[in-house]
Amino acid sequence: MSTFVLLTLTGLALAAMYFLLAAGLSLIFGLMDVLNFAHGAFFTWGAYSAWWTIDQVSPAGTGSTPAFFLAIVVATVVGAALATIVEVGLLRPLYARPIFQVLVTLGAGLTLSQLTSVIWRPDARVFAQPNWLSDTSTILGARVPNNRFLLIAAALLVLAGMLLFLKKTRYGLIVRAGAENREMVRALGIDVDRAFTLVFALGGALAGLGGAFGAAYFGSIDPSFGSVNLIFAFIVVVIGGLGSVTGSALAAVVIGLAQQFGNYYTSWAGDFVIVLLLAAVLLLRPGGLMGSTR
Amino acid sequence: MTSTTIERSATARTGTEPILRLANVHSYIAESHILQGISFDVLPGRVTVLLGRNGAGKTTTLRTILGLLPAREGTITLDGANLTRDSVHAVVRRGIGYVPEDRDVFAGLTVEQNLRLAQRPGATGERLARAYDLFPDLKKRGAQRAGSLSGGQQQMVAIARALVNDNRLLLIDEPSKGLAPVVVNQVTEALVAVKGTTTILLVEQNLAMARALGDDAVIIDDGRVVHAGSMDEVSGDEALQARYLGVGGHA
Repeated sequence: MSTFVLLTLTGLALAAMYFLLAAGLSLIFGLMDVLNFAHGAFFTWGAYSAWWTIDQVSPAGTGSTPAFFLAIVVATVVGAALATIVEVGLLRPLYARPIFQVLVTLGAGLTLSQLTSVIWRPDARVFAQPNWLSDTSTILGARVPNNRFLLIAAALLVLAGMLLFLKKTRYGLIVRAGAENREMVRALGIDVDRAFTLVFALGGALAGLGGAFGAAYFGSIDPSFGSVNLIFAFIVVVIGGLGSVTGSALAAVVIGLAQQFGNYYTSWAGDFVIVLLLAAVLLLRPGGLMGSTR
Repeated sequence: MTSTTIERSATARTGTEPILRLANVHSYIAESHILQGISFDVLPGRVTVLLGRNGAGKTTTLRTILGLLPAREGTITLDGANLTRDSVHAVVRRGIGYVPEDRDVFAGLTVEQNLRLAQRPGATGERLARAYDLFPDLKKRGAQRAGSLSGGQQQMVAIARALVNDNRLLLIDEPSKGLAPVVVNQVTEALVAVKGTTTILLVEQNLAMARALGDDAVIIDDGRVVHAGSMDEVSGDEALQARYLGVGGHA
């Protein structure tokens, strides 16, 4: 029983991290038709800027609570800032050329990730976090690290916030309408390019936030941190349905749990099960769990 | 040039300055040269009907005015201001409402959300209320997803969306397309009610609707203006209709 509880909660925490990465990817693709391969780099930079912040603020090897929360804010801001730069500087001139966009996000992603190893060396860094966060709580006999709960709570807050944003705000309406028919949104006199930048920045902020929490989850980071998780995030987006935030949340839970349980009972099944799930969804529901038919 | 004399005729007849003027406008879809020097005026307070066969360039004309397609040559002015090179949202914000050919309502949004999204800064609640008054059917369905509405109701949403702002000009593309005759009558009635409160450039293949609404008529063929005059004149000229609209026995 305790193993089951531990695996479930850890799987949900992993799901929460994938969701933070996938939600932005999904919104960006839904509105802009851009496959953003730079998204993993925003995640990596979120993780590194969080680690760097704690390193600057706290004495070596320890992470104080204020430092951790400051690190989360810094990671979110860095993610948003990088995303804005990539969107305005690199993508905007290329909206008429989809293939170039893919190449440019891929190039930006590789460059940004490499930059972390240039600045902070390529070897893994231990992510110092406050004791209360790495300590465990006992739930039904399972000793679960507290950062798992924080990660799950953060993802739930983000999910609720995004749904409110999409349903209740004017920009949310623009994003949803733009995902259906960008040209018609323009023909209503709305500057869609501004919505693009906003969505990209929002996605980058979530990726940065996810990177900081991901660093706490794994306990250490390296320059390939984002690219590894980006693959799973893309799978989450496809399974969930492109453009659907709720779908991404649902798919993230499926993937997170499958990976945790698969990896616990075998040494190989975790990732294999995910690929099988992906294949099954693509065959049976090509639009994804919550996807539209477009 | 014949098209230049034709283009001036409506203005010359009435002596008023046009709201919209197209002068020698050329535009392309990919590399196909669709509009080959279109010139005509739309006069304030009137309904100008753009007629012509399928593929003549009617929809392309509306899309070029909006900037959805760039005009590679020529000028388009609204109230004297040149908007040929402006971005789509800048053009629309000068006061243009657009009802596209395929309605293009946002299926995943509710009726109310469709209309609210269309409200530009400065749009009043009063206009929204009036749009609802025009289509009581929509008022009841404010919370319904636009994608679940019938074709006729979607057309009403599309028209209402153009009415929630204080527009100088409405561009309406084939509002009768794909609708049952009963619904066409409903839509025609609604547009008759709108007529006179604003200026309209209407693309319409349905001659009955064109007659019911039109004051002026511009006929285009192969991307050029071939006739401009009053709607009555076109209605009474069967030879003209046969030659350019593909109606009547000689087509």
